[in-house]
Amino acid sequence: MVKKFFIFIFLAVVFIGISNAKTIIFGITNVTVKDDYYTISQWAKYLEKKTGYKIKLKITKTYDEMQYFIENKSVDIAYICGATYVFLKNDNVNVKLLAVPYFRGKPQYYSYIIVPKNSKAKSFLDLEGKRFAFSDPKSNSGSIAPSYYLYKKGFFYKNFFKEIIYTYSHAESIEAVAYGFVDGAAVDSLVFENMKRINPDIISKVKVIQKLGPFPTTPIVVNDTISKTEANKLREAFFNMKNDKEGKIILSRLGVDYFGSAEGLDYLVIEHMIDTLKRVNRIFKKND
Amino acid sequence: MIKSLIYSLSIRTKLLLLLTGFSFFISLVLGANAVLNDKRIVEELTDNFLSSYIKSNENILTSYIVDNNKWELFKILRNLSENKFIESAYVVDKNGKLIVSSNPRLKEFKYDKNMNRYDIKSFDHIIGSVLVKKDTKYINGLILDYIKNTVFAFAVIFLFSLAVAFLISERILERIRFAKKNLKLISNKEWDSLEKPTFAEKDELTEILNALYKMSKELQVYIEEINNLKKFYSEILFQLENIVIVCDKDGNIVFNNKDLNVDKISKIFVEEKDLQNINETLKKENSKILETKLNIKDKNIWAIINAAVYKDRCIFTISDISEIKALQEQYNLAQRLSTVGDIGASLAHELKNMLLPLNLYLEDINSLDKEDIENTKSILKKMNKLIKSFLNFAKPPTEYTGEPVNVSELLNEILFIMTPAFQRKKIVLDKYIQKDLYLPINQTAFEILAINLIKNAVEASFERSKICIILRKDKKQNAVEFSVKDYGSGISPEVRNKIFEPFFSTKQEGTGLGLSTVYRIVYENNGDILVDTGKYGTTFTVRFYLEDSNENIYNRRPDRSFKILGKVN
Repeated sequence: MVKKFFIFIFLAVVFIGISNAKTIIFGITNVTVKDDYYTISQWAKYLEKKTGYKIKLKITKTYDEMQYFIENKSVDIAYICGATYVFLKNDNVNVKLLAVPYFRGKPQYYSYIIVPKNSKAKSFLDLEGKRFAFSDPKSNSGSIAPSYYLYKKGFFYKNFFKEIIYTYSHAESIEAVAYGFVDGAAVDSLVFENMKRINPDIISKVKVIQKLGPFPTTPIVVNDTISKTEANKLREAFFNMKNDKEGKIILSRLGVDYFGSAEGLDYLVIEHMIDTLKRVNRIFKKND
Repeated sequence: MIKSLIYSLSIRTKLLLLLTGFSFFISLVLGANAVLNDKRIVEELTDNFLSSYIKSNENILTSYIVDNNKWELFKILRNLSENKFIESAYVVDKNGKLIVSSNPRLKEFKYDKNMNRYDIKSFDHIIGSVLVKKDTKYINGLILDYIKNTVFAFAVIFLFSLAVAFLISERILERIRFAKKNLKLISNKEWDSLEKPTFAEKDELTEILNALYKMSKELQVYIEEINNLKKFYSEILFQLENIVIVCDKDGNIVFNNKDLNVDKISKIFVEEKDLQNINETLKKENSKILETKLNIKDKNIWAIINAAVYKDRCIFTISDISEIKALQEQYNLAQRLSTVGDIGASLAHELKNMLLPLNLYLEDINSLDKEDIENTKSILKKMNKLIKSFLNFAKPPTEYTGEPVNVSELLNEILFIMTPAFQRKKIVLDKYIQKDLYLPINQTAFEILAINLIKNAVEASFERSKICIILRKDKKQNAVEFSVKDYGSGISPEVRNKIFEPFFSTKQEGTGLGLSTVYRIVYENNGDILVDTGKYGTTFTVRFYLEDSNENIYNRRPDRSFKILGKVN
């Protein structure tokens, strides 16, 4: 009788324990991982397995939406752009860097200026008066870096092009160039390199005419809704992805060598560009 | 032209043409129908697809048009134009101004009437439209592919039906050849070589072949029976005593049963007119019997020839009656001698009867008184009359001179001469004499005949009674009929059979030679005499035929005799 009672207590504890496992909301934007929901869901399952937490995905189209959710505390961890991280910091949101993707040994990436294969443009500046695709207004590589470059060269990005198309996806920006819908686009180098592997046909229709950067890579940030222990557990899981087969497959599909420490990584470069552009925008708004 | 061309084709060609033509026609109709239907279905499917695609995307299209989100619109158009049947797609605003095209390199947009237009509405207000230009080349290519496939399929069907038609026609022809072979064997009478049909097909043709084979076998038995019969009958024919000759219509002898070495029927006739006579009759009637003289195997014979028409042949059956003829002549002679004997005896008896009183008177010639002398004279007168009558009977002037006699006139004359005889007994004469009737007869013979019959009638009549005399032509019999009717008491049954016998008389003054003379004249002129007698009178009817006498013998009256009818009125 006593034995049976203990068994019941044990099972009840286990059941309650499982059902009350911590749920981590993992925010991902479409801008970086275009429609590859399979890989993302595999990633979530992987993390669940490694951490024991229940991982729930929250996918948004834009960085703006993701920033909103992070500020709202609706998202616990998020894979965002360096620029979005800067915006969050500027808004005094208590987010911390959890891990950053490494590519060819460095936590760096570039903004590629791409044009159709048969384009006569040789540099970014040759695209003046053309139709140009930005990915997300809050994407560093897809919007801020090229706008800042133009500013540095003496052009206001809104006036430099005939028309700016926002695709809200680096991959779609590449497609828009490949289809000839736009004459050029600025895209995340990590996405571009990954695309070479995933969709070489599209890549064969475009060419890179200029690389802007390097910039610190798109980080995974952690909200203050997560305890330190939980954060460590999650970090460990991200870091260890490179060490098992399952993790490696997901990394390769994400176009990342591995996730590593963000220690010593400085997003000031991006912060400076954002500040500058904010001022420029204000000036141009006033003049409009 | 086409008809004669079709008729000149062989069965195989006709069958091939029929079957392949039929399959070709069916294929053509089905094919054309399928192609037209296919085109319609393709059009309908593409239209349905487009309208449902636009409908299902209408909400996002509305928001993208309102947002002027060209990239998203482009993606939709791009997806749409990935369909092979779509050449290009466009989104235009409510004023028809191009927003975005599926072809980013398009320099100038022009609205085309052939484009499918789908208006995008927001609360019943058109905010833009999606225009789709279908790739007609691709659609037509699809249909062309279908046509090619259809043509290929029908070509296969056509070849297949050609092969089937060939096979069927070959099987039919094989059986027709079989029938031809068997028919040839039948025509060559090679009955035992006939093959029994053993074909796998159980159709009408095989049934015909089986029936033909069965019929041939039955025919074989039948023909063998016929041959046996033919042999049997020809043996009979050859054993016949009669001569049978078969001629064609030109008179050529095609058969005879007596090995006659004659080629023409005319050659066996001694008298040409007999053959002409036969020919004339056969034009009207089927047969003709004639007694004639024929030349058979260089010998003249008497024969009865029966000529009959059978189809386009004429069959002559000849009976040699030479012997009968000779016998008849002998019989006639004997009969005549016997008659002469009979008559002689009768005459002698009569004369003897008369000589008896004469002998008594002349025994004492000197004692004859005046009355005796008168009686003697009377007896001599009677004897003279008897001898005269006998001479008249024995050799009457009945030789025909060759000139036909107008018996109508002659009879009128006789009646005129005899008028006093009628008047004596106050007899009424009722006569009907047809005008201008001619007879090939000796005039005196007719006079004797008429006078005898009329005289008899007057004698038999009561006073104030009537005599009917008729002379007319009997067209049916082709004869001249002369009848004398009295209203006396008739001939008594006891004497009826003796009235024509010589020297038979019921009258005291009669010689008994009147009616026997009449009988002989009628006999010699091949006529008839009919006596109709009863208690109210007697009618003598004499008939003289106008046709050939020989014919009368065999055709008209086989049993030629004088009839005496005993009618009781």
